[in-house]
Amino acid sequence: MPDIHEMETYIRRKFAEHVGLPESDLFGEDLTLAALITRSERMTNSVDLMEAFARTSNGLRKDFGLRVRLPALSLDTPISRVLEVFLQEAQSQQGRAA
Amino acid sequence: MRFDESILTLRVRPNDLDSLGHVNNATVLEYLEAGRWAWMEQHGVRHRTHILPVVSRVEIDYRREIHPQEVGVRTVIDAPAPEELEDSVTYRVCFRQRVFTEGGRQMAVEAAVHVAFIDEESRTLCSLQDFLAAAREPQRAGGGARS
Repeated sequence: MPDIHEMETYIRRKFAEHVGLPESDLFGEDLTLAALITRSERMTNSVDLMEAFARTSNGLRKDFGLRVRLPALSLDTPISRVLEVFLQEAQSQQGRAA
Repeated sequence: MRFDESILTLRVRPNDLDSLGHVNNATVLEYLEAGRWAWMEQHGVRHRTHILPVVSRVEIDYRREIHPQEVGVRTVIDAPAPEELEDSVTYRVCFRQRVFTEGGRQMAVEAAVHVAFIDEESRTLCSLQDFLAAAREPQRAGGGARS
């Protein structure tokens, strides 16, 4: 099982990949989800955003066997909070699997 | 998993027409929606489940005027391909929809409608596979899956 840092690196990389923005832009500026949709050329609406979450979760399931499901998040949520929720969910799943 | 094209026949109503005497552009979107309901019915997909289809994008070409007559709405899945439906997790579907007039001889409208699937309670995205599984579950006694 990956440790917390590996998992964070994985989530950052995968999420940035699905959103179509460099990790440094996404996390460096701590964009809100609304700002992220505006900034990304790949995203039009919150469905696109939810798809990026779902694809990241799907990656966690395939690569680490963790079933992570994010709650609905409002568009003013900063990306640091999204990452925090992702990690909490992944860790609690990891705890259950252990 | 393979889904055939569905064909819905509708009669243009007088109130569908605008001041030019042809079907209003916004009403055509309602015809397309009726076509997608018919597609779901044809494939045994129940209307009421906790996972709901949501339109996220519509691209539409109005090619000819539609005058009062019978029209046919043809609906088919354009993407994902049938083999992708089997092998991967898909979060949206693109329907190709066409409206025909003159007894099916003239294509009046062509559209690509993108649909995603949202869980009613958590308001999060679900996959097409989740949606189909929920929509094909046997209906519980006393009505739909959710009221």
